[in-house]
Amino acid sequence: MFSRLTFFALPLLGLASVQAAAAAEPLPKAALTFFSDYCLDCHDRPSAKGEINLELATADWTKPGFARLMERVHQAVSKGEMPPKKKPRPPQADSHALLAWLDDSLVRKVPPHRTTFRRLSRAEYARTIRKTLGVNFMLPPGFPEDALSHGFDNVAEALVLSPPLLEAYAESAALVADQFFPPPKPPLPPSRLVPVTPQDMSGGDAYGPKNLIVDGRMRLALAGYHGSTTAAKFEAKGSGIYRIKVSASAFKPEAGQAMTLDIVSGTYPNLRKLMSFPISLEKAQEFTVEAPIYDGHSVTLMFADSPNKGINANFPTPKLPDELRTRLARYPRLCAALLTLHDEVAVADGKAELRLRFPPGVSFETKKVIVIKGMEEAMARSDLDTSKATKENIERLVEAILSLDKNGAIALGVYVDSWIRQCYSEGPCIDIHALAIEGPLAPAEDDRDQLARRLQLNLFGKRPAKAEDSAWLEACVARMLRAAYRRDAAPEETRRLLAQVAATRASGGSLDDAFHLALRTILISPHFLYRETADRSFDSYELASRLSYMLTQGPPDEPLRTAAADGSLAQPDTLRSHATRLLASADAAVFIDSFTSQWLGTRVLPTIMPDPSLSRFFSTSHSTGMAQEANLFVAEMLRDNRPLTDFIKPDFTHVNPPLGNQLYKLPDIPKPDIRNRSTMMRVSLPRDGRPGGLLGMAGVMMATANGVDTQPVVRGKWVLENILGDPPPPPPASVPAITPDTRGAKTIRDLMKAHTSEEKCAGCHKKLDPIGFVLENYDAIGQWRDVYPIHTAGPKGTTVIKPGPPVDATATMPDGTQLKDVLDLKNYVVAHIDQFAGCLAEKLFLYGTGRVPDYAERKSLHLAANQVLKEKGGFRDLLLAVIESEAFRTR
Amino acid sequence: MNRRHFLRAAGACLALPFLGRAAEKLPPKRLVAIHVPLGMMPQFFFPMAGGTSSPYLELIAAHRGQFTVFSGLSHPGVDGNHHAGQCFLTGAPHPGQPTFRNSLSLDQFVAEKIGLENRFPSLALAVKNGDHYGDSLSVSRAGVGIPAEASPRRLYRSLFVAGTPEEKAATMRRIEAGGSVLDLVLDKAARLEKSVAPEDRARLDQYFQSVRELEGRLQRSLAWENRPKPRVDYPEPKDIADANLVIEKSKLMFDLIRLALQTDSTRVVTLSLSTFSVVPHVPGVKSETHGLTHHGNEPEKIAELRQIEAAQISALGYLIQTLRDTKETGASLLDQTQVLYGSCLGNANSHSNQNLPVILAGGGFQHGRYLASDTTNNTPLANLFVSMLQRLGLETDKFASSTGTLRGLEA
Repeated sequence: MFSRLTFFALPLLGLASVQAAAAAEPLPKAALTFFSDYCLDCHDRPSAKGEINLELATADWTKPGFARLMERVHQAVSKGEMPPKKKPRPPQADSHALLAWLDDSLVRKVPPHRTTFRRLSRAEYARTIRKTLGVNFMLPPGFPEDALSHGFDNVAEALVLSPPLLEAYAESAALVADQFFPPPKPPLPPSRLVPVTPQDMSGGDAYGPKNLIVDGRMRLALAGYHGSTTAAKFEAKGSGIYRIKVSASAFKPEAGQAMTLDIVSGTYPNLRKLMSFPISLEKAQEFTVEAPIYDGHSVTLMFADSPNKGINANFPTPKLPDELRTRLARYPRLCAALLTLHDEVAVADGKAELRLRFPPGVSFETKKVIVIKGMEEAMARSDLDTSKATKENIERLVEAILSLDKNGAIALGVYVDSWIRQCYSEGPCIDIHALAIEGPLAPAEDDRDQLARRLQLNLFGKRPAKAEDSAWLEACVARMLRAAYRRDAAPEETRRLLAQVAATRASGGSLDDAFHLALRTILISPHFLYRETADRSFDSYELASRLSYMLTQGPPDEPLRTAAADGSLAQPDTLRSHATRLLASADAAVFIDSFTSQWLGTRVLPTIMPDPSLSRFFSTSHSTGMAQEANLFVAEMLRDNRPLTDFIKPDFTHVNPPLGNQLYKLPDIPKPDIRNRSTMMRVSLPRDGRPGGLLGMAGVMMATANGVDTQPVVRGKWVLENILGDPPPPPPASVPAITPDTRGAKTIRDLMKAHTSEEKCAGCHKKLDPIGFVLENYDAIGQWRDVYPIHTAGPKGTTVIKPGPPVDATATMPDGTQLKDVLDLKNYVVAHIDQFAGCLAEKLFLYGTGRVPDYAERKSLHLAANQVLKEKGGFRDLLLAVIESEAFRTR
Repeated sequence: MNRRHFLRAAGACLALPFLGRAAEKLPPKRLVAIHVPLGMMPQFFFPMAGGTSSPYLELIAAHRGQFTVFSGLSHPGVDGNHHAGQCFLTGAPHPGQPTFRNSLSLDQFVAEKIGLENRFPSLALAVKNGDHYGDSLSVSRAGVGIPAEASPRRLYRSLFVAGTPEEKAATMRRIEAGGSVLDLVLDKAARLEKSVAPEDRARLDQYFQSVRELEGRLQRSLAWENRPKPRVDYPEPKDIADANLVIEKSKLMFDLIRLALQTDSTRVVTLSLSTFSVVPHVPGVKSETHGLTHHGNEPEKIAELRQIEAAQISALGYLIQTLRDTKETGASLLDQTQVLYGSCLGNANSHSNQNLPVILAGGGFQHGRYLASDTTNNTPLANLFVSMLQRLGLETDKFASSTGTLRGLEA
């Protein structure tokens, strides 16, 4: 147990107080006069407007609160926001003197920030375990969530540790150690014979009728796992060799073609084939195989090479249209029967489409029943007109089957069951008459044993002949430490862990027990859970970790570790080349997704449930398309090192057909169907158009609304924080809330007038509101609108939506710039691209270092960003400039 | 110096309260806190000036003497509309701001004081569909949300069903294994601690704190693992799969809460009753609840939402009833149990976090009243918390943003 004393008896504390005493200095005359002449009317001690008190005698730059206050003063005066317009203006010389003093003091006298111990975030933790140890690892459900700070989940200050989290770490560590050293198995039970009748088999096809038993046999019609059957009541008790006896026959085999029956075991998709048998006779034959079945698993039988493929309505493959054509051509009666269930519906330009005929308002399940019944009746009819099964009609049927219904759900699902029914009567099928499983006959190594062997070999190498080989033991311990701590272990650390291993052995544990405990200890050690823990100095290993976690969300790879170990990473060129290397690797996709989805807020999209009255077509294809659009856009910006203005006015974007065709209404985007609904495609855009760029992305607009209505303040705040780098302070207490009224009497603009008329609100709202107003053209799912909808009562309690007042997207920015619509806002940001570049550099710095840059760092980041702009550099240059900045490299 | 042996010994001799103790001594005091994230429409919830009832309160008029309704309460500085839900029991300011850090919740504060004698120092529960802000009301000292249990079946099993011998052995192994590594890392961390920069010491302190607290918890779990679980005359429930059966799910949780309190398995419970992403199976309702709360004053939407909220209030009546009906040593369970019910949204349509709807039932207060505070300058909700804490027997005059106790609320 550590001593409480060590916490308080550190000699440094004394030093800190000396510094503090020296740092409190009297305010210089320039500042005193400026404050008293231009500020103290409102910001004296008693009134302290906006909670800002400038009635000060001394400056103490070591106090974080004081430094923050002075930063705000610097910002307000340099931007001309203070003193307010209606008060007397200070002469320029006075402002300059004040600003020069503030700037100099903030840069020189404020103690530099550094990142404190940074706990691994959830995603980093899981990835680190997988990467360093090579195990399968997912965060277990209920693993505590991380708090966000400044919009990101990897900010050091918010990554706190709590007992529930530590407990989750301890349990995860045990799960990982179990993969290396599986817990001892209970002895195998005595062998027994389990007969499995067809009634005790389950269908593997979740999309069709289960347990299709014909004449007491289980009939397999469809190919692969989806048409398979599993011995439902059998479960191997202990991994062992089992004898499997199956009796099977062929039903309507195709002439001269043997069918293949596969015996497999496992859980989908990790199936192990135990044996294949050819089935060609129409009378039952018996087949036997002895093979290992793992603990808890059963036996599955499948018709491996059936010509009839199963159709998974949720995951259609690109080959699906061809499979449909083949099947419809193969069975003319099926085609003709399907045709009887369809109506011709006129669509645009004189064409007609086939649509299934249903009574209005029936559920999906009822539709399935209607189709199955309709098919059975039609197939039974002797007068079924098979001449209709023409090539042309087959094409039309394929189109109908692949179409999406109006809710974006798949029409295909209702066809699937009728399909399978038809296969059962037409053949070819394999009939299973009986199955018997006997065992365990002998123990067998299972997947867990194999995994453990592989993991041990990778981490520790071959075990020496002599178990107590001390050099080998030491090497093992050092390897465990090196993997988990992302650096070479100190001799002292190795020695201690060796001692722990020896102690476990001494108290009767096996070597496996000792290593198991050692692994678990390491995995909840602060050296593993935290990074940037080096004492005081920031060494090359810390830098390697920082770079690697920033760009790959995982620990440094071997080349980076080598560069850290030989010190070459300290060279800016080497750092740059490693950064470029990582950005080109597949792992960089993690960075793109993590940074983009948090910066642009697209991570929250799945939790937003839009009001169905906003659009009749909205589906998850749209929201996943939005998140992918943001990712692919940022990825291309990075890959092609595009100029920063392209973030705002690009000539491209990426969409899937639901997003491009229905939401953006872009030309030349195909109509969405099940084949293309998740296919992202790159499209060219006019630079002066509405869609495209951060201010034209539906995902950004949807994430800054709530799924129902829009709030100009929220979007205004988002743009100030994430695009212009000018975040507003929190609103004052007891702000009168706005009560939205969608009956049409008042627009949001009328309702918000109070904000700009009330003085305490006006300071921020004159910055927030114009941006929010301009973005009002985007509704809560990012769809363009020219008028607000009005909701009125319709017949029978329904709501009717009518076009209401026009959206007024005109606004005046604080500097007097007039904006007519979002294009003007884009132009405004392009004209202030230095602000955007600085803001983005700050976000990247925050993401990379896990802390907000201080004044001096911000200043140098903005300088670096300006340099990138001056040299006509692009996004990758900016990212590399942030990584090469002194603050990123040194603390 | 084998950790396993130490823990086993500690577990065996750790003092535990006798399970029969409730009968011998005065029944213990308890706390149940319930949050409805989408609030209640104020025009139907709050009584008119001078009155003590309202359309919603009429629905539970049978219990009017058992609860007090409050108006004019809110948490100062707690804004950020839906973000505020996670602050219902903490009062931590500005949850929507980039630098937000949550703080210790009321229930965890109480659990530290009166919960340690029970199998579960506290229970965090939720009825929900998907993940949203504030799914768990319980927040640790470090400001970390404690994951809430949403499965009634799992809850029931952990409360009342003894595992098979294998399960029990596995649990014991897990607990012992957890304890065995903690000692080892403490040693490591203590050495790291000597060399860290001063600003990192707070981080390490947090680490030590967590290790020690977890160690204590594991020891208690180990001790409890050897004791039989209480038996109840209530069948093991199935989880309700249909998310839209939100009222039925709430009632099931209420039953389990009653059983947990009655058996003294815990004395502190929080429950988040979320209707986000749900179209409740309530007559007259065909829309998703969150969408309805943005009703824009449309009468049809208000009418639908009213049906949902009325069903929620009636369900609260069910909880009060079931606690009243449960007797222990002459009094009802309700008399010993404070039930706090409310929302951090004062008005979901405007996303206001002021003028929160709050009800306090049971716990031995003088009820039946309507305590109205200023609707312009709200009284801190934490003042009510301080009154509740004192009634629970905790000597404290401050919690979060409190400025005193809540005037007018008497025992």
